[in-house]
Amino acid sequence: MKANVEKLNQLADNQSTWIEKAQERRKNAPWLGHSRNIAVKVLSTLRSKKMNQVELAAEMGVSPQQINKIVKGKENLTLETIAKLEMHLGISLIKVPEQPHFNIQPYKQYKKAIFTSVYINTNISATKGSYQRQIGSYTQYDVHEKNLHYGN
Amino acid sequence: MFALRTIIENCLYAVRVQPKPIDPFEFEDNYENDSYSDEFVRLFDNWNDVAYLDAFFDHHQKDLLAGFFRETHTIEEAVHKTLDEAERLESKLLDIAERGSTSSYSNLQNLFKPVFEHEKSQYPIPVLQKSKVYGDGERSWLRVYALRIDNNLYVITGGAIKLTKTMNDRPHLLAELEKMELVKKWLIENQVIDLDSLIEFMEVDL
Repeated sequence: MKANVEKLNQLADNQSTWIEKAQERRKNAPWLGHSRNIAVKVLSTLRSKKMNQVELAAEMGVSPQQINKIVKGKENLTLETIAKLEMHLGISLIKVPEQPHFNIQPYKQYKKAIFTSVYINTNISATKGSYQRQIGSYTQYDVHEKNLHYGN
Repeated sequence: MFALRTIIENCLYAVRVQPKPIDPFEFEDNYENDSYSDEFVRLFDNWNDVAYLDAFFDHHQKDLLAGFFRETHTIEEAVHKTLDEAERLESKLLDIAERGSTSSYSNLQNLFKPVFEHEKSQYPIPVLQKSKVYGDGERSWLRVYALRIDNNLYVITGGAIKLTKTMNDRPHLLAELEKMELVKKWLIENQVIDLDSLIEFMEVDL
């Protein structure tokens, strides 16, 4: 006997919000990537300094809820907030290279574009993962073609 | 208690658990004003939440270093890996959902595999197939769990980051198994599926 789809649809009282949330994440992927990298670095630094989010909030003069938002990696951070984080944690989070280099090359085989204009100084040791490469003191990120929705 | 939310009508659904399951790595105010939609939304919310992932991998550090995977990972590397895989997996699912045609929905079957490997050799097939969706790549630890209740008809019950070989090894994985059992019973109670039904077995890879 096949599933009773009519009964199933009667049970489904509402639409899931997943599709719209996923579309929003896809649209915002470029800046979300930066927000996440900063969040990872902030949490890693707190751990190495044996400091918690409440203490960081007190030093920065903001609420713990604000720090919690930042470390989720979903905030469109202002440059001011990033600078405050750098100052109070004693780390470098973002730096614009002296000679910006734009290089968008679609790979025929893999259909991926490499976008290299702003570098995040993550100070992470080189990993073997395909999602991250380290060049000198900067990190280059591969950006999936579908993530390039600038201006859309 | 369960409710059901539609993702793709007549194809993909997700359960809403009431009250919302307690996840020790979630921030308590994540879903204020009853904004919790369903387990599928909650899953990808968490997999895109750096603080959640950091807390999860901090708690499961031993599993990261246990050697189940080819490479060991620091917490930071594990967070980046998960964010990347979650983005790819969600992109695949979103592509399917946005195509909006019956032939495209059949691609869902390409993503799901049976949870229990021994079920591959069984016939007749168990009434309700527990299915899981792998994240992208050979060593993905992301899992989406669903009940396959008919051809191209799935009910997502939840998901997890699986750092061990079997689901019996960790409480958060056992909780997902239990949830699938409870949703199965709930669907039978509500006459969505009959215990005597036969389900055709489909095994495809990512």
